[in-house]
Amino acid sequence: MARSIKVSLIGNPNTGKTSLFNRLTGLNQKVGNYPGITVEKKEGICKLDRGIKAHILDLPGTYSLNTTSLDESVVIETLLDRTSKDFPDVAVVVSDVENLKRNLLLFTQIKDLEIPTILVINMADRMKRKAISLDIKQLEEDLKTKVVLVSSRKNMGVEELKKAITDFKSLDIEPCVNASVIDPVYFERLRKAYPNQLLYKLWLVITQDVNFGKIDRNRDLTDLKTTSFEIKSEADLKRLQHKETVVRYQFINGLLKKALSIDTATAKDLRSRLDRILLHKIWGYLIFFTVLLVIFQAIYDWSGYPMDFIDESFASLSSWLSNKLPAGPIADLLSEGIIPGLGGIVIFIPQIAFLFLFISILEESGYMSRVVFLMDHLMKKFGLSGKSVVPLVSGTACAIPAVMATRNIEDWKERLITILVVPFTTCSARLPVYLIIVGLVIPEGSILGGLLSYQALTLMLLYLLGFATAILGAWVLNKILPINRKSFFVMEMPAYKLPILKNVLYTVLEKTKSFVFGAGKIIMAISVILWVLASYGLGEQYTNAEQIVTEKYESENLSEKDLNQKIASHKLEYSFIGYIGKGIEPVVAPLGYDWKIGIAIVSSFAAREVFVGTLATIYSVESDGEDELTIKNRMKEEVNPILGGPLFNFASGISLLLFYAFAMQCMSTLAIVKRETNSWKWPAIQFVAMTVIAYASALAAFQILK
Amino acid sequence: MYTAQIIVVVILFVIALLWLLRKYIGQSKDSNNCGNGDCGCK
Amino acid sequence: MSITIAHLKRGESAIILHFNEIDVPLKLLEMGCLPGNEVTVMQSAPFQDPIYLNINGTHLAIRRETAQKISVERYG
Ligand SMILES: Nc1nc2c(ncn2[C@@H]2O[C@H](COP(=O)(O)OP(=O)(O)O)[C@@H](O)[C@H]2O)c(=O)[nH]1
Ligand SMILES: [Mg+2]
Repeated sequence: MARSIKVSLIGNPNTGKTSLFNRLTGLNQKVGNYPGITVEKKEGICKLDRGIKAHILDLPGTYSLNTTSLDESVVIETLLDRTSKDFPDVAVVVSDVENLKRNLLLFTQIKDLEIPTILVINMADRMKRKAISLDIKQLEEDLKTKVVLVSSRKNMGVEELKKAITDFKSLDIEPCVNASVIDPVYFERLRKAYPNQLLYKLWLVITQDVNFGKIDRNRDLTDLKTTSFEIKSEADLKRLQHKETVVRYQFINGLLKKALSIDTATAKDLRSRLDRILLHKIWGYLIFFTVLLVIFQAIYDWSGYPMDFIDESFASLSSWLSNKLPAGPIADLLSEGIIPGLGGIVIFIPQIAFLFLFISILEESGYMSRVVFLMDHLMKKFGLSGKSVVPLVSGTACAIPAVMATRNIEDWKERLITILVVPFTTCSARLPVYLIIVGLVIPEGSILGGLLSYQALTLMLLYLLGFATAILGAWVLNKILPINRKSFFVMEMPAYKLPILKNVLYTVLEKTKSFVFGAGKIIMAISVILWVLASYGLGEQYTNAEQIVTEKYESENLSEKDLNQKIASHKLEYSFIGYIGKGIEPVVAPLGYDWKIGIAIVSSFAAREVFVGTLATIYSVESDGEDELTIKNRMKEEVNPILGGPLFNFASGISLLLFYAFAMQCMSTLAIVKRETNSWKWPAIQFVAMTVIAYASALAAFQILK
Repeated sequence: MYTAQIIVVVILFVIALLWLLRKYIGQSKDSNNCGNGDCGCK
Repeated sequence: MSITIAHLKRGESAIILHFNEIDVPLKLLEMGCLPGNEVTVMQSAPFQDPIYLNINGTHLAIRRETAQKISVERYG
């Protein structure tokens, strides 16, 4: 008989929840969002004994149930609402053996909710090195539950945990701390007023309202505020929360005195030695800069080979298809529309993968927090927080997760500013555009004795430009936004760890997949639309194109191939898209672009990476389909209709690069910003300001350089 | 045969267009969630 | 005059005495910053801000402004 159990993994950040989750579920997982909000939610399935299936949920990290952020509120929402479909049959609290004391705070709160709870003490592999010994029996007795020692790195104790989950019915659900001692009178009255409710749950709901106005409570609790029940002031509640924390720590301290011993003499460690170098006042910054440099060189250089291969494969696939398939609109749509469009996205897989590889290694190893530490003072001057570094760095992957990553910034003003400037950082969607333009207009050659090519250097300058604009923007916003800063900042400095390969690979796989499928769908749709618009037209110039062109070039004695090419160009010019493009041309001509680039820019507002695919589709409609040219070679052959000479030259290239560097061309980011700031005001300001900056700087660049 | 293909292409075109429109325009009816406790809701 | 965490030099330890609840975020308490606990300054960034502490076994960083609000007593 197959049964299923719902399991939630809960714990402080960095205790290894995700690692354990990967261990339990393998590739049997999917990432989604909590309905209505954009906190990431990972779900997976783990097969247990007796044919039981466990649905495992990896919840965001939280230090306690006193939530102050959206991320954390997900945890409490899940635990408070017994009717929710995510409400766990059993909660697995994951703790880190080195930080057991702090981790137990959350455990005792969850235990008070009378949910069957298993305590996992993770990172058991580090106990020997740190000379930690534990009395598990004693812990189980005092915490009144099952305690499992696990190492997700070494895959130790995972089977025992699975068994404990299977037997969850036998777990004791008695609380281990009595929170009502912090104000017995008040709690007694609370109990009398709501005899059917769990006391601690009531308390959490009441305090949640202080921090988090709009939490969706159980229906039976919604009347809490409206009744005549005594309401404590915010300051009083805060004081009680502090008191509760103290009471819990008293309990935990007493418990650990009996059950835990650390031989501090042997506990001298890697951390302090590494910190001395990585946080050094000079070396620390130099190392950080070097790390960035290596990342960019890798993204540009190493990924060049697979990219060339992909580019050529798609070009030959296209021509192979158009030869093999019976001629007709469907064959054309495939070989001229969909395949080149898809090629324009697949080609960037190597880069995206590299980028996420580096980001996840930096995060896994604990280095990212050091960067935050190094940068906080400087960032504060610009109205940001050291924690803004993480969004700014992960913004180089994608602005969407970056905007979400601002959630752990305590101060609202610092957070808002970070959200507003993050889209300036060079996201991976800009990379396709940069790469192809840089390859076209920046000469080959290198500096530093061949170490850094001009092209890689340009790319790095573009990244720096992104950061610089973001910082400058923050400085301006800090001056003009009329919001007070509280300047709170608390950050855990995790121990250094060798990244777990499995975690890194899963991250790379998951992000690359979502890039390909997310952007891929958009690009498919756009390439179909573009192809149709480019392949059909109305009016005499379109329908009689052959006749008109043949007559026009009659005297020149063109070869048949050249003539066909001219006809195709003529048709394109008078197709639907040609008309739209001509409408745009006056706006973009001062920037050095022709109407085809104009179309590519407009379609980029769905997603930037569409740029290359769009040009690819337009050019293949225009060519007669026999020659197998790569996108890059096609672009090289384009001629500027007004000025003559190559369309993609230094001036127009720089102008395009600047336009893409500054323009807000990502609807998904706007949607996320709207969600995170809860108003259309901020995304609207962002959109207008960024686009104006983009147009102005592109215009200036082209007019000066041409 | 040719007309049938045209019809398929047109259908694809319409599907693509509707899908994009729905993705970008239909999405705006979000529930009103706010960020931090001390954040923009106020 | 009492001293605060901000007065401690690198490597110095002290016992946390008291602070005002309004000045210190609850999260810091949850991470172990409670009266009676030991605090050691591990490192500080340039301009002594932020400050990297070991409070009761937890390693964390706080800003100078917050550190100035937490009064402590040196050992011995
Ligand atoms: N030594 C050791 N490190 C671990 C173990 N489990 C996780 N880690 C490391 O702990 C860090 C945080 O892990 P992660 O799963 O991301 O934690 P989460 O934030 O709770 O999801 C990573 O650097 C992991 O490599 C373990 O059992 N032993
Ligand atoms: Mg995680």
